[in-house]
Order: sequence, then structure tokens, then C-alpha cells
Amino acid sequence: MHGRPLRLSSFSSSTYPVSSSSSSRYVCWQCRHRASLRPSALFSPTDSSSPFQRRTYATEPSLPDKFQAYFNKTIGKRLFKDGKIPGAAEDNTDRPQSEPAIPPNDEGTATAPLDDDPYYTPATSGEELESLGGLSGWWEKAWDEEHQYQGWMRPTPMQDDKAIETAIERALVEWYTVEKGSIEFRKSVGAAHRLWANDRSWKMPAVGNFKLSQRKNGKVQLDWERSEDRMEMQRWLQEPFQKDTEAPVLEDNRLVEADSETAKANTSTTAMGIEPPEVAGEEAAEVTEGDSAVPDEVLLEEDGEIEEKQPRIQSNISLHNHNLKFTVIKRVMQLTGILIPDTAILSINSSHALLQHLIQKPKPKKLAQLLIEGHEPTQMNKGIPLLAHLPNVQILPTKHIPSMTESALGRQKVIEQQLDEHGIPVPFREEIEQITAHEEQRLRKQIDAMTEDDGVDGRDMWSQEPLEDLRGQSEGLQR
Amino acid sequence: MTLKALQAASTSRNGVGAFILQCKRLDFHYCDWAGSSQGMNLFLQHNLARFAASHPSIEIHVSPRPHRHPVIRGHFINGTQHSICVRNLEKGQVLQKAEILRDMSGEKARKVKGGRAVGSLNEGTRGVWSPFHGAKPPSFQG
Repeated sequence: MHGRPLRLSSFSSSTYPVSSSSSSRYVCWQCRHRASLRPSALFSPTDSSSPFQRRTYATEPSLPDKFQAYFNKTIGKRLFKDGKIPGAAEDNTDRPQSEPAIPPNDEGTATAPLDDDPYYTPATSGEELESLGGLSGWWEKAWDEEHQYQGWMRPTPMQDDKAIETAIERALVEWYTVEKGSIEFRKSVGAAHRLWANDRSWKMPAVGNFKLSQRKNGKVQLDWERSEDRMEMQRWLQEPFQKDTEAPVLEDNRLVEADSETAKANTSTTAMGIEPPEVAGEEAAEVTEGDSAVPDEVLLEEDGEIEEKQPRIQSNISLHNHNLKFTVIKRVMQLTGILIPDTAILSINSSHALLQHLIQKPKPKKLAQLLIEGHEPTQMNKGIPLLAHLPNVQILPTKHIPSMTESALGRQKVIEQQLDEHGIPVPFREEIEQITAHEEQRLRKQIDAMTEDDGVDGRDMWSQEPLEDLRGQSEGLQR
Repeated sequence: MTLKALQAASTSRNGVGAFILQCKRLDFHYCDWAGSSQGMNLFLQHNLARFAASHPSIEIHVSPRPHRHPVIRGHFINGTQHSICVRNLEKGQVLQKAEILRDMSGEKARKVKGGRAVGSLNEGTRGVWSPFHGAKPPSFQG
């Protein structure tokens, strides 16, 4: 073992590669012996990268797999007596090593040579060539005009506070219309949460006048101004679950009150996913898809014009009932298109809290936006106008650029004129126009705010200019 | 020959009759992202409104300067500018720097000649020294 090391040249080249470039490499006889016993030990005498590098079938599939051939002849024959040895087809020992494995030509993609096409002309630029691939226009191609995608929620979130309040009223009145109904009505409708689970559109007809209030003892009272409105609501609620032959089960004109305790008892079995025992086993009718089934559909928000009505929810309705809470929140999300996070749901326990959460504006991300919009004055700034309203203050939403200085001095228009004449694009043209328009709007608001007051002796308190002249300036800006 | 009085042009003394604030414009640059601008941002939200309302003759410009330290730049009537970096300062300290710029004259800082802090254009009341006037030095005569 510790004998004299043997020279590399004493071994035959067929078992071990000899690198003639270096004579200092030493390998013990044990490693050499082990290497010589490997069946897949193939090497190239011309491979000068490393004497230990072996070119095998795994790295070069063109080489014959000697292990497979050995396996087929010895072990494979014993194990697979039927002759079906796995991988036997891959035995390429018969194939000459010099021929690499070339995949067959794909005849399906064969095209005629371009030289034979009489209508072919090589393109000189890439503008006329049609583009292939990419995801542009995928949505329009995937959904044709007949099969437009209709989401469960409103596609765009509501912006108007009145519309959001109306949506909350709608959700509550739908819930209490079901809860205050008779057992037969609830049977025909089913669990309240199924009404607008997945297939009901967020569009809905207008609701008549009603009043919803909660007393101190917890009782909730729902008063309809007209019985026709209540019946219309009930019909609308029953429609998805109504069979063709059955007539809608509607309430009569009597006023129905429900105690909070009885409401809890009735709704305890109407938790999400659990049906009340009365409707167990009933098969609800298929829900109609789309809006065509519901006549006289009216958007909740028509071009942003919401008539200012008296609030139909007279008091703060408690949402401590979990079924009521989650049903109303889900319905409001569907109608308004505003996602309510789970963390906010925990803190929402009343209708007022829900409304406040939905109408609150998000905090401005930029300080410029906060300064321009204005915020509530602090204790030290009481009695002082907002920063954006001061006449000697200018708040820029973007970074100052030299063109702004030029436009303030009046040289920018001369520069733009010369650049346009020479065909040179004006840098930051849109930003300057945006800021200029913003400044004009700000000045107009300031002048309007100043001219609203009578001033002192018909003159503005700041500049002592006649208010009539200032009003004329505002009109000049509007032109 | 008639005597004519020397026509002396009146020299302006700012503050003798009317006082004109030398600072005509203040630019406040802040950053929404940098932490060194936190005090400046709070100053803009809470203190600047009162400062601007109390100085209607000073033009106030507020603009972001992303990824830079907050700076207050003052422009003066004589055409000079002076900047003060207010990085990592509290809103009260930023207000102090704004007041410093407001009180500045815009003149470049110069070395006071003669090492005297107070200078005057008027002649000395006791006259300029000459060797011919004044007490004679003592003579050593034995």
C-alpha cells in the first residue's frame, strides 16, 4: 500500500488515459484499478481536457450505451424472461458511433421555398409586417360581443357616497324582507344568503320608499310606504327560485315585526352553507343568468345623479348577528364593487360603521396631494386658511424642472415656437401644460373665493382691488 | 460768487422710513421617501400655513425633490440665492431655518475689515491721529 508509486506509463492506454502534456499527475493504483472495472468507462484518447473526464451515453447520447447492452445480455435476460426488456430499444451499440442521432423531419411544418412564391417580396422595414404572438387583444378575442364577461361584482367601484348609502339600504331591506316574511315566503326563497350568492347580477331595480329603524330594545321595524313596493321586492327575491308553474308567494298588507331574538332563532339555521329544516330536501329552481330575466333593470347609479332623498335607515342598525353581518357585507361588496378586507369586517358592527368605512377616502400617498386637497387644520392653525388657498403659496405636484422657470418668466412660449419651427420636440410639454392648467384652476378658485365675500368697501382685503375687476379676471381665465 | 450748497444724494436707509423685506421668495423642497425629510414634511403640513399667512410679501413654493435631502432656498431682492439643508431636523428647527432666511439681507458674507464689529460712515468725532498733535513722548534728559 505504501509501496513505491507506479508510473502512469506502465499501464496500458486502453484502461486509463494518459496525458502526455503533464507527467506530474499521480494516481494511486487502487483508483486506477477501480476505474478499469467500470463498464461504462469510455474515454477519448484525444480528450486533453482531463484524463478523468469520461464521455458516456448520459452526456453524449450518440455514443453507444454499453451498460444497456451489458444489461440486456446478462441481468435483463434473467429478470425479463419474456424478452421484453425495458430500454432494449435504446440499445444503440450496433449503431456506428460516427453517426449522430438526427430526429426525423417534421413534414407537417414543411413550407414551400420562398423563391417559388410569385407573390413574395422581401420586406424593407418591419412596419408592414404583422405581429405574431403576445397577449395584446387577448381579452377582446376571448370574449366576443355575444358572450361578454359578466362578473359577480360591480366592475368599477362606486365613488358617490349617496350611491353607497343606497346600496347599504338595499342590502338591509333585502335581508329584513326575507326575515320578516312568513314561513311560506322564506320557504319559497330559501336561505337569504343564496339570493345573491354567485349568479345574481349586481344590477337591480329601483326600490320604493321604506323606513328601517331599530328600537332600543333591539327590535327592527321595516315600514313600506306602499304595499306594492314590498310585493315587488318579494317578487324580485323569489324570482331565481321560482318555478314556472308556481305563483309567487307574497305577503299581504299587514305590518310584520320581528324580534331580534326570534330573528336570531330563525337565522341560526341559515348560516352559510346550512339550510333551515323547512327547506331541507327542496330543490330550488335554476337561477337565471344575465339581466334579461329581471325586467325594468335600473342601474343603482345613473350617470352619477342620485336624487337626494330622506335617509331610509332611521337609526343605526346593529350588525352583531353574524349571518346578517356577512350577508349584508357580501351584498354591499357586490353592489358597490368595493372590496372590504377581513380586518375591517371585525370592526364593522353597525350600518353606520359600514358606511363610514366605505365612504372614507384613502389617505393620499403623496404629500403634494395632501397639501393640495387640504386636511383638517390643527389646533395651532385654527383660523388660518389652508395652505393651498393662500395667494402667496404655490404647490407643485411634480419635481421642478427648468422649463417651469422659463414658463413663469414668459420665455417658454417663445422657446416652444422656435422648437416647433425647427421640428424639434419640446421636452416636458405635457407636464408644463398640466401644471399651467393646475395653476390657472387654482387662481380661478382663489379669485372666486375672494370675490364671494363683499370685501371692505367693495375692495378685496388683500390686494385692495375692486372686486368687479377681480371677477372680470376670473371670467377671462375661464375663456 | 454765490455759494452753492453741495448737492448730496439721499442715501437709502432700509428701516428708517419704510422697511422692505429683502427675502422675496422661499422654495421648500422635500422628499416623500427619504427619512431625512420627515421633519420637513411635518413642517409643511402643520407650520407652513401660519408662516405663509404671516408673510404675505414672501412667495412660497413647495415642490418635491425626490431622493434628495430637504432644502430651503431663499431668493432675495438683490438677485442672490441662499440654500439651507434641513435634513434630519424637527419641524420646529425647520421653522427656525426658514426664519433665518427670512431675516437675511441677501448680501454675501464678508470679512469685517479692521476686526471691528461695528462700522460707521460718519467721521470720527475726535479726528484722525497725527504726530504733530497730542502729548509729546517723555524725553530722557539727565
